[in-house]
Amino acid sequence: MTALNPDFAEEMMKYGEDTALACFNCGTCSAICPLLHDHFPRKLIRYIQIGAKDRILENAAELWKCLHCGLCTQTCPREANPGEIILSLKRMAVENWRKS
Amino acid sequence: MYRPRDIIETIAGNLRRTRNPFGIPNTLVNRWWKDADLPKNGEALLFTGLMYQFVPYIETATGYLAKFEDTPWAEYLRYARWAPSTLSGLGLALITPGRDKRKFNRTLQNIARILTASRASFYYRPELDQYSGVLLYDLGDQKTFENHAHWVARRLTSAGVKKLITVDPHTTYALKELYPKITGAHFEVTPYFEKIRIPARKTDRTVTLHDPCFYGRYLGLSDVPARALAALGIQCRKVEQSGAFTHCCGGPAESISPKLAGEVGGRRLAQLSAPGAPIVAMCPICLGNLRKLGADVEDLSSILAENLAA
Amino acid sequence: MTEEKRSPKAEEKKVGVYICYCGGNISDHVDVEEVRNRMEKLPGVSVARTNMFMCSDPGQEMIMEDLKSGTVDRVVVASCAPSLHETTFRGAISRAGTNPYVYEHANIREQVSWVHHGTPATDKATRLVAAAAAKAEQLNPLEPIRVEATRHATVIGGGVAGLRAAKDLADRGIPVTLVERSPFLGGQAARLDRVAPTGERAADIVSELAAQVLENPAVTVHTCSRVTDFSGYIGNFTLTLQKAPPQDAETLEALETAAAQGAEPGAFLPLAGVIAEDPPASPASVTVETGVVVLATGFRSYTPWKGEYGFGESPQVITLPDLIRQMTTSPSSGEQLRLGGRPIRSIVFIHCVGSRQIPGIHPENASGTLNEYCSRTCCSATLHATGRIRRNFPGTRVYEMYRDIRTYGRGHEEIYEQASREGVVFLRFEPDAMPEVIPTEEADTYPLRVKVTDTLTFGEELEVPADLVVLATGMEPNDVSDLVDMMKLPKGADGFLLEVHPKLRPVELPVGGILLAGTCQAPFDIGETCNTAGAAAVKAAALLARGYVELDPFVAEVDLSRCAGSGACVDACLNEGALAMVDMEVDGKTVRRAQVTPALCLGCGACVAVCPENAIDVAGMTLKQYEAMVDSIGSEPTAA
Repeated sequence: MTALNPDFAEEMMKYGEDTALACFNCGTCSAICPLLHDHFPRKLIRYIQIGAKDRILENAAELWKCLHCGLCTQTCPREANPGEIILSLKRMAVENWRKS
Repeated sequence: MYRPRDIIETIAGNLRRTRNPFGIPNTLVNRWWKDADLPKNGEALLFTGLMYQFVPYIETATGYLAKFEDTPWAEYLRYARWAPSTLSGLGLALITPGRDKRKFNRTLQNIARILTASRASFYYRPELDQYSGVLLYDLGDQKTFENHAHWVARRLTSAGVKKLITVDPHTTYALKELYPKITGAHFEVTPYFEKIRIPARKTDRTVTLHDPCFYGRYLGLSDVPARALAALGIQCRKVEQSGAFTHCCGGPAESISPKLAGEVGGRRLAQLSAPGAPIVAMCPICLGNLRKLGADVEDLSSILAENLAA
Repeated sequence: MTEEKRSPKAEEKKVGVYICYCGGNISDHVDVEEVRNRMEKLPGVSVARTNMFMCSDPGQEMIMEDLKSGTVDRVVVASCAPSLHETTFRGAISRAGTNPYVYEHANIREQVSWVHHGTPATDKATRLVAAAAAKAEQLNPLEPIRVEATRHATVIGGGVAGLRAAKDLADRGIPVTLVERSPFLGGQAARLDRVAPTGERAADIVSELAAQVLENPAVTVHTCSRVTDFSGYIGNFTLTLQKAPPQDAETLEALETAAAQGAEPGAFLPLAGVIAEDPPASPASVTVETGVVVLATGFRSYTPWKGEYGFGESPQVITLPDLIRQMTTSPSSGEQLRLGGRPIRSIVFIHCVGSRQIPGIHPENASGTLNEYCSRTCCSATLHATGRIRRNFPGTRVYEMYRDIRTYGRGHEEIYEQASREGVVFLRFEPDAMPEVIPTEEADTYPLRVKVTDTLTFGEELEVPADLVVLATGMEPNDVSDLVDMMKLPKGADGFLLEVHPKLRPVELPVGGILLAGTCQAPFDIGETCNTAGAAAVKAAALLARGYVELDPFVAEVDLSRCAGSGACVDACLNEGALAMVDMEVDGKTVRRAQVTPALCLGCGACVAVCPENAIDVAGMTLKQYEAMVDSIGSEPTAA
C-alpha cells in the first residue's frame, strides 16, 4: 500500500520540471526510448505523479542511463517533455546526495 | 554500470579546479592551433568548446572502465576510488596515445581550412576557447554547470566576443540555448557548416549522414550539412531515423556505462550501415562511439576538406 | 383504387427477374447463372438477367430499359435483404415511368448464400426467386395513401431539446404546443453551472432559449402538464393534457424561493429553470389537435445504490450534480474549496458510476437491468469541473479515478489536457477492481480514504486521503412508460427510445409522425441535443409542409361484394381505430359492414386470417398472391 504524496510534483518544479502531470501514461516515451528498459522513462514520470520520491531516490542510478537524446520529448503527444523530466530528476537526485 | 554519484563528483571537482572535466590542464589538451596559421582578428570567434580535443582522453578512460564494468572488480575499484581517478588528471593524459590526439587535432585543422576557403571572417584565441560545461548539464549537476557557464560567458563578453563559430552539437546547444537562459549572455552562435561556401567539384560519392540528436532534434539543423554536401555533388543516403527523429549513437552513456553505450550504439549502427556508403558524423561523441563499434565512419569536416585538397 | 385499375388485363404478365452476384457475396455460393437459366424457363417470366451489382447504376438502368421497352411489366430483384435496397429498386421503377408497387424482392444473400453452400444454396435460391416471380405475376399497381395533415406540432418536454425543437418549428411558421411536466423550462441543463467544452453558463443557454420560445406567439406553453391520452395517426393526432398543481417537495420549495424573490414568469431561477407561467391553482384538462409529435422527454441522473462507493452511508460521498449544486452557494475562488464552510483539501472523483455496467460485476438495478452504455457526457463534465477546481482553488488536491477517459467531442480532449496541466492526478482502475471508499478512524485528519489498484502504476495498490468523494453519475432515460404504452413507442435494451435507423433515420420512430429530440434517445451533451432537436424540427416541418402525408399502400381492403358484416375483423384488429363496423348502403339496403381507416392500418393481416368470407385482404400481400408463392415453393423445382 502506497499513500499518494501530492506535494512532490510541486517540489520538482524547482528542478525545472512542471510537466509531469501533463503525462497521460500512454507509454510512447518508453516505446521509443533507445534504452528499451523496464518502462523507462514512463515509470519514473508516474512516480512523480503519485509522489513516490523515495522510490526514485532508491533507484536513482537508473536515471543516468538516460542519454538525454530527446526522442521521447520529440514524440510525446502531451508535450510533457519526458526527457527534460528525467534531467530534472537527475538534478533532484544530485542535490539530495549533496544535502545528505 | 558505475555509480553516477562518483563520476559526477569527480567531473564536477575537476571542472571547478581546472576548468577541465578530466582535470588535465587545458593548455595541455588544446594544442591543435599551434601548427595552424590562424587569424588573430575577424568577425567571429572560432569556439571549439574543446570537445574534439577531449575524445582521445574519453576513449582511453572508458576503455579502462569497460574492462571492469559489471565484474566484481567494479565495486572494489569504486571503493578504491580507482574508477574516478582513471578518468582524471595527468595520469589520464599520459596513458592517452599521442596518435589519437593528433587525429582529432587534424579534424579541427580541417575545419579551420574549410572556413578559410569559404572566406568566413573568423579568428582564434586559445585562451577564450573554453569547455562549455555541457556534460555537467547532462549529468544533472546544474549548480556546477551554471557556475562554470557564468565564468565562460564572462570571459567571452569581457573580451568583446559577439559571434561564435562552433564545431560540435553539444557546445552549439549549450551556447545557443542554455547560456542565454542561465547567464543572460546572448552570442550569435553558428555551426561551422552553415558558413561553407566552397566551389563544387565533380564527385559521385554517396555517404550516410548520422544526424546527432542535438543538431537534428534539439536545434533542427539537420538539412544544413546535407545541403552543404549536395553542393559538392555528394549524395546522402536516406536514413529513416533522421532529422527530428534521429536515433542516439549511445556515446553519452560512456562515462556511466560503456556497456550501455555499446548496446544503444549497436542499434544505431544497424540503422545506418549500408554497403558503399560510409557513415558521416559531425559530433566528436558520435564519431568516437560509432568508431569504437567498428563502423566505417568519418567526420564531416574530413569529407569537406578532401574537396579542398585536390 | 378502382376495380378496373386493379384487375389483371387479359394479356400475359411479363415478369422480369434480375439476379445479383453481390460481387461474390451471393455468387460464391449460389450458381447465379444456373438460377437465371431456371427462371428463364418459367412461364410468365419474360427475361432473367444477372449483374455483378444490381444496385449499381448499370444494374438499375438495365431494369429501367426493360420496363421502358415494354419487355417487362413486373420486376423481381433477387439480391440482399429488402431492408437494404427495396427502396432503391422501387425508385428505379418509378424513374422508368412504371408504378413502383409492381415489384417483388427475393433475399438470396442473408437467407441463402450467407447460410447455405453448394447445390442446396442454388436450389433454395431457385425456389425463393421462383416464388417471388409467381407473386409478381399477381401484383397490381397501387397508389400511396394520402392523409390530410393538421399544421400543428406538439413537443413533449421543456428541456433544451424541447425548447430548441419548439423554437425551430415556430420559426418555420408552424404553430407549436410545448408540454412540460414541471413548472420550469430548461430541464436538466438548468441544474448545471458552467458547461463543457465552452465554459458558458448553462443558465445563459437556458434563459436565451426559453425567452425565444416564450416570446414567440406561435408557441403555446403548458407547464405542470402531462399527456394522459393519445389517439390518431400521422398528421391527425389528438392529445389530452392534464394540468395539475405541483405536489413534490422539491418543486414546491423552488416555487417558494421564486415567490420570495418576486420572480416573474420569464425569470431564471438557479438550479430550477425558467418560470413559464404561474402554476395552475386547480387541475384542468386541455385537448390538442396536432399533426406531429416531438418527444423530448430527456434524462435523469443515475442515483447510486446505498453503499455504492459509500454513497448514502457517508455524507462526504456525493454525486457530480450534488457537487455542482453545492458549489453554486460557495465562494467561487480561494486557497481551498469550501463546501458548507468545510475546507476541502482533497477530492477524489470516481468515473463511470451507473454507466458501462458489466453483467456479473455490477449489481442490477431495481428493474433488473444494467446500464451497459457509456453516458458520454460525464468524462468531459468531470474534467471540466476538476480543472476549474484546481484553477480556482490551488490548495485543493484533485484525483480522478477512471476506467477510460472518453473525451470524444470537438474541444473535449483539450479539457482533459487542461485538467492534467492544472495538476489533477489520474488513477485508472479495472472494472472488476473498483476503488474502495473507506471511512477513517476519528483520529485521522481525513474523513475518507480511497483505495485503488492503479493500472497506471503497474497494478500497485494506492491510497488517497479525501475530504470528499464525488461520483460522476451517468444518464438514465426519464420514465416515460405511460407515453410508451399510449403511443406504442419502441425502446432499446438500454431503456432509451429507439430510432428507426441510427444513421439513415436517426430522429424518426417506426410510428409515423412521432420524432425524437435529445436525451430520451441516448446520452447526448447540450450541443448534440440541439442537433437532434433541430433535425426533429426539420423532419416535422417537412411532414407538415405539403399539407398531406403519403403512406405505403400496404393496408387492409374490404371486398364489399363478400363482406357479410360478421365483425370478426374488428375484434382481431391490433390497432384501435383501424377497422370499424359502420352502416352503409349496399345494393340499396343499409347494412353494417367493415370499414378500414387506411392511415391507422398496420398492414399486419390479422383481419385477413379471421374473416369467414375471405372478404378482406392486405393490398400488395393478398391471399391470392401468397397462394401463388406457396404453390410455387411446393412444386417440383424447375429442372436444370
